Amino acid sequence: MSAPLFVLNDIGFAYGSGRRVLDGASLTLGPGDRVGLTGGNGAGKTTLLHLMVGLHKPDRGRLRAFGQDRVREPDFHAVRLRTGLLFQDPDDQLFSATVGEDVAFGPFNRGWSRDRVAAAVRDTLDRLGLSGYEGRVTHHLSHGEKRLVCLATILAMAPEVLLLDEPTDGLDADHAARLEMILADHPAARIIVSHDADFLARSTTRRLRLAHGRVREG
Amino acid sequence: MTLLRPLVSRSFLARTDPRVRLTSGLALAILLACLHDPRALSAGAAAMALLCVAGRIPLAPLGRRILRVNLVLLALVPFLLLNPADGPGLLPRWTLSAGQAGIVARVLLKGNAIVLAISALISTIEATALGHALSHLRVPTKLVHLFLFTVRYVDVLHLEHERLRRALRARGFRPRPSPRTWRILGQTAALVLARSVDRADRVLAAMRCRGFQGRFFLLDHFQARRSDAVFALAMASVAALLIWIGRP
Repeated sequence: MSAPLFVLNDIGFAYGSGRRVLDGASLTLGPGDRVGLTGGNGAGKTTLLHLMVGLHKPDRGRLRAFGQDRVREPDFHAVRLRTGLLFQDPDDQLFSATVGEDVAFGPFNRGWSRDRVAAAVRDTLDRLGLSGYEGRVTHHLSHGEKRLVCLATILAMAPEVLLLDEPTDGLDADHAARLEMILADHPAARIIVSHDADFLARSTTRRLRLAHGRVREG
Repeated sequence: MTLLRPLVSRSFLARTDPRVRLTSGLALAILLACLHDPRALSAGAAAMALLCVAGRIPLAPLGRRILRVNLVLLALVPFLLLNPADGPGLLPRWTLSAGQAGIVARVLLKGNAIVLAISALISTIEATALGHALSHLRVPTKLVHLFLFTVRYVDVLHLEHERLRRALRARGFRPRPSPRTWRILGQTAALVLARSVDRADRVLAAMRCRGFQGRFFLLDHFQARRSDAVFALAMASVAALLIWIGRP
C-alpha cells in the first residue's frame, strides 16, 4: 500500500469553553480512500475536519499529512493547498463578488500563472455544468448553485484530498444528484461528513463513526 | 438581493465601460460643484436631465432621489437667514434678500444637477463592477476589497437581521414605545453584530483553507471599445461647454 495522505494519532481537542470534543481520535486516510464519517450532533465531525487543515490545533496527539508532521500554522499552508475543505455554509466559503473571482482565488494562491488560472476556472466550471457563470454575482445565486460553486472553488485547486462537511445539506434532488456524480468522477481521496446514510452508502467505501471523542469503524 | 440595487438602465449607458462612466460622473459632479454662474448651472442641470432621459433611467426611483435631496437642501435654507455677514444686527431678518435668494437658487440647481449626473453615470453601475472599476483606476487594493466584501456580505447580514425580526414577530412581539422594546431591539442588533463577527472568523478560515496569505487578485473584466471613447469625448465636450458658459 502506498504512503498514507493523513495519519491522525490519539488526537485530543477541547474548545475554550472546556468542552472536550476529541479524546484519543485516530484515523488514517490513504490515496483513493472514500471514507464516510457519521456521528451525533456536536460529536466533533466538523472539528475533526478543521483540525486536519490546521484551523484548530490539537492539544495532544500527532498529526501527519503528506508524509510530514504538521504542528504549527506555517506547516499547514502546504496542507491546505493540497486539501479541499467544503464548509457547511456556502456563504462562509464564497466571499468574492463574482463566481469567476471566487474560483480563481485558490489557484492564484497556488502561484499559478494568469493563463493557467483562467484555464482552471473555465475547465472546473465546465466540468460542474456551470459554464458561463464566471461573471455571475455570488449573492444572486440560489443555495444549490452556491453549493456547486463552493465545490468548484476547491476542485479548481486540483486537491489530492477532499474534506466535505455535509455536502448535500439543503440541496434539492437535482442538485444533490449532480454533486454526487461530480464527486464520483473525481480521483481525490475523501472524507465525507453526512447524516444521509443512503448518500454515504453510494459514495463511500468505508464508514467511520465519531462518538465520545474517538473514531470507530462502522 | 434587497440592498445596493443599482438604477437599472437598458440603454447605451449600461453598455458603456464602467470606468468611463465612473470617471466622467465624478469629473462632472466636481465641475458642477465648482461652477457659480447660474446660466452654466442651468445648462448643466438640463444636460444631465437630458442624459437621464436618453439613458432611460427609471423615473420613479430617480424622482424619489431628487425629492430627498431637495428636502435636505431646503432644510438648510433657514440657516442662510441667520447669516450675520449679510446685514447689520444680530437679529435674523425673516425674509430672503435678493442675494440670498440667488444663493438658494444656485444651491438648488447645483444639488439637482449633481444628483442627476451621479444617477445617470454612477448609480447605473452594478456594485461589483464599481469595485472593479475603482481597482482599475488605481484605488488602493485594500479599500477596493473592503468595498467588495461589504457588497458581498451586506445582504447576508440584512437577511440575518430579517430572520431575527421574523422570529420575534412569530412569537407575538410588536414594537411599542417602551423600554422593553428598546432593550429587545438592542439585543437583536447586538446579536447581528456577534453573528457577523463569528461569520468573519469563518470566512477568514475558508480563505486560509484556499491558501490565503494576504494577497488579493481580481480578474480582468473590462475592455474599452470605440463607443466608450465616443462617450468619454461627449462628456468632455459637455464639461468644456459648461466651463465656457460659466467663464467670468
